[in-house]
Amino acid sequence: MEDQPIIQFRLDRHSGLPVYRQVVDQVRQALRLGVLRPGDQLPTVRDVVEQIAINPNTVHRAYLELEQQGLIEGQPGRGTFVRRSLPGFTSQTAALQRRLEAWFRAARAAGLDDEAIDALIASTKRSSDTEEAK
Amino acid sequence: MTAALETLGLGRRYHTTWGLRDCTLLVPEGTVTGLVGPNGAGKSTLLRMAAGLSRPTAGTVSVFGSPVHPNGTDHLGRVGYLDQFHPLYRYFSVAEMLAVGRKLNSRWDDASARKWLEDLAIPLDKRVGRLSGGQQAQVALTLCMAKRPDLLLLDEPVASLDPLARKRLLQALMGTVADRGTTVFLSSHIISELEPLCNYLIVLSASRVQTAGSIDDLLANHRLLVGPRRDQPPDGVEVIDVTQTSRQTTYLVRGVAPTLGSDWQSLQPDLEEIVIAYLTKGETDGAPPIPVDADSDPKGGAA
Amino acid sequence: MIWLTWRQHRAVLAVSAAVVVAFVVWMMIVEHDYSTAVRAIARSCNASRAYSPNTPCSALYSSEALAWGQGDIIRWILLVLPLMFGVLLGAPLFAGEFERQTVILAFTQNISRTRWMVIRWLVIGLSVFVLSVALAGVSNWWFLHVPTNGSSFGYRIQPGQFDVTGIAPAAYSLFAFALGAALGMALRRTARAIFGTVVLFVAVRILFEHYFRRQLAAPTFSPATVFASGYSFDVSASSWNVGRGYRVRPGSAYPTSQTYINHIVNLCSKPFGVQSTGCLSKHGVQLGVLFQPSSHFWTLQWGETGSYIAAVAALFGLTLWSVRRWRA
Repeated sequence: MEDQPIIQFRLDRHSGLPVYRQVVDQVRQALRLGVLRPGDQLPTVRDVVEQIAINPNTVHRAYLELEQQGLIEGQPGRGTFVRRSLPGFTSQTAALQRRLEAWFRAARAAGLDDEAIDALIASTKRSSDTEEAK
Repeated sequence: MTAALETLGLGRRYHTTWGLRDCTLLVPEGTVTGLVGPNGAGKSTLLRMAAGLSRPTAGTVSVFGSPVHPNGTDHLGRVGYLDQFHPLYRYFSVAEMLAVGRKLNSRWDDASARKWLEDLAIPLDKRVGRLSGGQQAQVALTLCMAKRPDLLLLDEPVASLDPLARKRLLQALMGTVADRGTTVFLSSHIISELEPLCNYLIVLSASRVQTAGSIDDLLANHRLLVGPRRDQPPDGVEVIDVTQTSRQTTYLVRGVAPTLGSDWQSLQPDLEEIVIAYLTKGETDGAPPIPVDADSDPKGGAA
Repeated sequence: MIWLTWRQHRAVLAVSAAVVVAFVVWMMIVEHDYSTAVRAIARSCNASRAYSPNTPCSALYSSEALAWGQGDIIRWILLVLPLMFGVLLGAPLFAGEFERQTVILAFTQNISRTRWMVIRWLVIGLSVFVLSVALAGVSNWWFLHVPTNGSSFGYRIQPGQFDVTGIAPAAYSLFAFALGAALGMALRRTARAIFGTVVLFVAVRILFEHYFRRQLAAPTFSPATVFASGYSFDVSASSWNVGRGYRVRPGSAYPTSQTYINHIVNLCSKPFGVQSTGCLSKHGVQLGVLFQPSSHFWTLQWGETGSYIAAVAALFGLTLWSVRRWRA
């Protein structure tokens, strides 16, 4: 029985995000959460493609971008390995959380209800994601 | 870079109706191309001519540079074809079906075939007629893949399958593409299914190619323009489809989107919206087909 | 491909072989019963056959008659048996593949259509040949020992016996097979192919027997014996009477052309197709009977077999042309 890959990818068809972007994000998320650590082997293109039926080129593209970001490296004949991890949430999240709380207070003061706040967050996230992808 | 599949003005007429017309395509090697369109649009007709099962009434079809003749044998070793109804010998056991493939094909990978079937828990000694529809489709696909073709032509491979069988079949298929760089050409009438699998897309409607190109290019070259009701289409850009309500107009355009005013939004359409626009267009007019983007990067990958 | 053909058809091949074997067994049993009865009769019963019921000799005569009756049935079945090869093995050979769409599977493997069709045809055709030749061999032996009603082995040139003796039955079997295969390939439906095979096989057999067999060897002419009140034909029971004929008396000075004979026949005709023999002989024309003597048996057999084999070759060619022409 061959070794199971460490992480399981997921394809969200309705997120509006390109597939390769989702793969990149999921690897980054795994690095942040410590599921993937430096030295771990990433699933091969074949493994990913057999988990979620996507085009192999998509995986190549995602791994290329991660390599350009310096997070992974391909070792010929051996596979693709994690090079460095990403900082977790702890140091940055506290400051971000305070800014978010302030923003919420301002939004409620301006008269936005829960639904309007959710819609605003969703559309801003979507447009910033597509901007980031370009 | 050789074309895995190339057609020039390909057409097929059945008595008085054309099943396919003026089809000129270039499918590069190593890609996964989706063929989408409504039933009766000509998808099966195109695939059968590429497989050498039908003879064209007009035009030519070539596979890896050699023309395909129904009575020729050049293409038979390099091309695998999976029919919509995936015929099998119902009284044969699965192992006997593999024996058929082994005896009739020179490049046969028996070990891989057995492994695929084992991974899917399909028993080799069971009669094919006793397997479920999904399992039969898997066996038929296994037969196609085990003959190690360079080009796989699949006619609606997952149309009649339940979600689990569909997932397993597509996983096996993409695994083969990852391993061997097989060129795949598959048809479906469900766009969302094709999008993660394909680099290229061909839209067929009313027996004609409405558009063809890499998915990246299709997404990059089209915009949705939404604004107040307007009866005059904008000039300087090609309008593929227009939707009107009493207060609002939506244009799907190809090319560089013009600026129409501050009350107009320019949005990125998703692939389904683009395809539906072309299908609607194909239905309403018999306009000449749009040429293929032959100079785009074939390794662009699915968006 | 040979394996595939055998594996797909092993059931029908087994059934056909079983039918032939069962039939042969039945023939053996009948032959045994008949020869046992005949020997016992020869030993202890007189030829008058006048015995009251329930005596041993009447039982023997019954036994002999029963064997004879079965022999008749066997002869009729042997007449029809070649059709079995057409219906069971010929018609479904290609039609089944089209009906089940498995041609699509076959034509997308690395084997040419020609090779696919030829090997299938040859494998099953060879099986038909082997089975029918074996059956013909046994039949020939059997007819030497069991006479059947109206035409025993001595009368083998007569229609009805000719068709089940010699090598012709094997030729008919191959023809039925080739016909079934060709119709199956052309019509692509097993039921229609079976129907067509039966109809065409029967039609061809009847037509060939009636019109062409008599021409395979030149018939012998036997002049009629003329009496004051009429004339009679004298043909041996072992010959096949093919009808009346006319010729110019040998050694006479009259022209021997067919035109002359026809002219004289017309000249001498009386009502109801009868000619005046006196008028005929005045012009040197003899009325007689044409027949095929039993010595012509093998000439006719080879001629008929050759014709049917030529038809088999033509049907093979037609089947091959048809498969190359087929489009999905």
